[in-house]
Amino acid sequence: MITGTIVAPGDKVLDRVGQYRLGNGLYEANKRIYSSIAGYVNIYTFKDKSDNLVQVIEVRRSTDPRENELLPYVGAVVTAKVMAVGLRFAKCDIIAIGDKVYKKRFSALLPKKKLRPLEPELSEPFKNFVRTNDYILAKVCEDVGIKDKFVLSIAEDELGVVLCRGKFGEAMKKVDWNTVISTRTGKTEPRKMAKVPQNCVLFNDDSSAMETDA
Amino acid sequence: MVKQRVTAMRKQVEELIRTGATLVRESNGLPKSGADYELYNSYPTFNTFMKTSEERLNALMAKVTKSIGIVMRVPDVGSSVEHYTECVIEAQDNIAERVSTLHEVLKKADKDEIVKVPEYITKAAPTNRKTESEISAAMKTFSANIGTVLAQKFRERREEAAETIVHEKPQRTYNIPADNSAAPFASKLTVKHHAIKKRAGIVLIDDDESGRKEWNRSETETEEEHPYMTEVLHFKVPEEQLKSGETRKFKPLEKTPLTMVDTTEKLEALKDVLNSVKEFSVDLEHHQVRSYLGLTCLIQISTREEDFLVDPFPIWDQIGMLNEPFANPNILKVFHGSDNDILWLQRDFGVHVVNLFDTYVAMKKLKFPKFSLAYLAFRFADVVLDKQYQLADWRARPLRSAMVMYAREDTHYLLFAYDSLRELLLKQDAKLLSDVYSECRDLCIRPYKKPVFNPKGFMTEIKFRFTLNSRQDFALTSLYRWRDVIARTEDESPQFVLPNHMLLALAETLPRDTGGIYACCNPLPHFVKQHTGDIYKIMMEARDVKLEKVELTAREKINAQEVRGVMNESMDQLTSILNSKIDFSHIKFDEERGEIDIDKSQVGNDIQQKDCQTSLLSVLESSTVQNMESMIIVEEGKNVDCKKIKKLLNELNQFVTPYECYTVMMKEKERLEEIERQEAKRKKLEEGDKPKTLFSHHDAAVNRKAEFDAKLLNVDTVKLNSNETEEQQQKSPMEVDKDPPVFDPSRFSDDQLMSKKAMKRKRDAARKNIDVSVVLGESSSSDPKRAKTSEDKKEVEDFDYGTADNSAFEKTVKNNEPDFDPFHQKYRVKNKSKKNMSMKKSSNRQGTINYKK
Repeated sequence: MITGTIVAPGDKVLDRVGQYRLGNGLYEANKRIYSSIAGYVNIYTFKDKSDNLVQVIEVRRSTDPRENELLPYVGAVVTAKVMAVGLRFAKCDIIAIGDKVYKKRFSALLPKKKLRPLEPELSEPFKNFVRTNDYILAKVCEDVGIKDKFVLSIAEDELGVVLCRGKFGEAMKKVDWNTVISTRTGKTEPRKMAKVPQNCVLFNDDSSAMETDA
Repeated sequence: MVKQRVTAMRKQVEELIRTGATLVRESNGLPKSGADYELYNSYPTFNTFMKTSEERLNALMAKVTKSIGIVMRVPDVGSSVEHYTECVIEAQDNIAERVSTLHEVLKKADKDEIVKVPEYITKAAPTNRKTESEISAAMKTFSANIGTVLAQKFRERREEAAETIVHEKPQRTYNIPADNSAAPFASKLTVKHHAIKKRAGIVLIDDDESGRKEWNRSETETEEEHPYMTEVLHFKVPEEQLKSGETRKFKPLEKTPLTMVDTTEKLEALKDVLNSVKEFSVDLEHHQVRSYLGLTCLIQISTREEDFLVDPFPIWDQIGMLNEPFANPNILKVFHGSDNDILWLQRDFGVHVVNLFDTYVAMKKLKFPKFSLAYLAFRFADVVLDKQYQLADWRARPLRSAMVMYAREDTHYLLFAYDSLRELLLKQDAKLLSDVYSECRDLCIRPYKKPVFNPKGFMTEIKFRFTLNSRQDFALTSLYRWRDVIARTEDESPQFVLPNHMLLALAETLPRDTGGIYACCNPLPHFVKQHTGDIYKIMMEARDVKLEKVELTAREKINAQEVRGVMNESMDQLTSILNSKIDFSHIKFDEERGEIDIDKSQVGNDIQQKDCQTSLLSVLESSTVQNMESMIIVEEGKNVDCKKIKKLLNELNQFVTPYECYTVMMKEKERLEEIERQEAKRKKLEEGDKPKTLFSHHDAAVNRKAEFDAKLLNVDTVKLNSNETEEQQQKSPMEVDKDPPVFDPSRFSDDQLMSKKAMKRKRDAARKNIDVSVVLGESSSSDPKRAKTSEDKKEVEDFDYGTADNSAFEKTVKNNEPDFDPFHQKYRVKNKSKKNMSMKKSSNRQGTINYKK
């Protein structure tokens, strides 16, 4: 009856739970079901282990399931700042998930083996890829060993450093995908740069138009 | 007073510390041994002075320790400093030990409830000030020599325990009848005093005096009907009770005469006294462990002038005559928490109460912080009641003086409290007092009903940790019934016959033998021991029942839960608090306070209101934020720099977040891939026009799928080329592999393109030329040079290094890209050159490089 209705926080969705199971964005108070977020009511079904049909009712922010996620989820492209670089891990702070910027920074780990694809052990030091205070584009991925933190990966061409600064805080310019050059001292440093246009102009209709930095 | 003491103590301690500090300072100024002491000591005046002061110090120490109560071993004059310290440490240890033992004793006493620390003193709320009486009570308990006080208390306690054992049940001693049958309760009323209505089944006997009528019990009377129903309903509160009157202070306990009523004559006298007063206060002591229905053990009655303790056992049947003053609507009866007392009076003596004032109800009405009698007495009479005998065994006779004291204190202050409460109620609202009376009327009207045995009563009585199967259910039902039967015949409470947890343990384990039954019950109840055979029979029967899971019906479940108060369909404010997800556990529930009192009359408190609350949607819809406009906040007093703002906005507009770049890139990539795919499709279509029919081994394996495509994609071709050229330049003195680049432009490796023979040919050709080969980037397994054999190694070793120029290794690798260092040669070369490594070693290194790549 109610699929698709728009609700605001505090709106009563159901008088009782009934056959439904509560999903995201709902809470129960005084035996009634209220919405805790603004969005659309959605009902979906799935079969559980004993083959019973379970109906789940939830409130969604938007039709795209990824939009509903608040926390960094696996596969999300995030912008992060490298806070510290260790021997095997680099500590990062996630600044933005997709294009959503959060007040809180999520701490995450960038393991060494996630620097390049299909390379189990890398003899190259961490600093050839990222250094402290770099801003990187990364993807959240799963890791067998690390369960308590978000794990990042830059093992894609399009992922890597997007912004970095030199010793004196000066801007570093990209030379090629593996090197940056300081605008002040002219010193080159290795980095794994993200293969994204450094300067681009967004057009609403035609996204193909892009300019690379001269 | 305590505060003063504490501050005084603190001052003393501060003083002590200050003097101690000066002492240390002074003593540091004294000549030390090993330095000047020996010299000074040669002067006889110094020597004698030191000796006398040492003696004085010794005497002082002995005095101090003695005053604490500890004997100190004072060292002889002239003994070493170490000896002194030893003695002092010993003394201090003794003190600490004594303190800790005293502390332990106190703790134990608190646990054993020998010392009841009044709650106002230990957990005093900061809002209520301590009064003198509280402090004096505390002082009495914690006097200075606490050890002896505690020892005395312990001794008293032991004696009490020996005394209080009831050897024979008073029901048997005094022949008190108990009707434990399932028959409905029949009123014990014999004479109905102060009746105002003629009822069916009542024979009226004209009496000479004020409307005294004979009350005959008739068989048609149902127990639901209260004999004084009409009287209570038509009861009008006397005018003077609704008016403000004088507050008469209670007489002190010592000056109040106390009468023990245990004979019929005394009871008659009491009745006359009660008939003559305007109001009196009543309290009951009740015992319910060793009786099925419960037993009234003591009735305390206080008038303004006197206290009475009625021992009901010897005059059990005569107490009914007290009905006359109790049912008199012109005499006020003051109770505290009367709901049970009234029922017990009805049950045991056939005494009914008309015109009741319950101080508990009044306290509720006045919204006191606590509703206990102790609080009432504390608040109005400024007396701290010792409630330790509240749960004592009141059947014991003769009553000990402490218990008598406790019992009379229960009612002694009640009339004064009533006066104070009445004034308070009248002061707040005239309606409140009549409200209290109407609520008390509801209490009076409740008729006593016998507990009805419910065969499934255990569902609500016992909390289950597990779901029962059919056997356990059978056993539990049978045991429950057995327990009830035994309790009725023996006149004991069911809990005394078999406590709930043992009942559950028996039903859960279903022991096979008597030993198992005993194991379930510890300590073994008397009746279990007596009737082991019955329990054993039940267990055996239960074991024969077919095993199946018992599913409670939804209705039963809800009933059980509702009784326990877990869930309620009817949601009100109270249950909504109880069911709330907010954690209230840290808020200590005070038993004295009783249940949470919520005023339902207030508007807006209704939980249903939330349902009809207006949705926020309209608000959300109306306030759509316009994306294009941004707000600019300029600090007050500063000029608005339009240019700057414009520039800033422009920059902001132009700024592209990394994520947006990424999306652009992904789209671009997708587009390229799409084009590629279409190209491939087109090619395939073109080729598809003239399909090849015959394949031979000469055919290149072009159609094979590019397995390493994904891997190769990641390599930037441009970068690879540049690197390779650099490498070639660097290694120019050596013979450098001139093989075609490892990576075919068409992104297929050799083994994918060439036939086996061609590969071999190529490998051979390579082998002839190769000495150092460097492969960069993503070396795939298909690289032919990887499969080097020992042969290759030999060839490498054969190379004449003497002629070769190895300067390339000597100098640090430095070109236009200083950080480029693919194999960490920089470090290696540095190290080796420092250590003057021989050529042989360097050749070895060469070999390793060769091998690795």
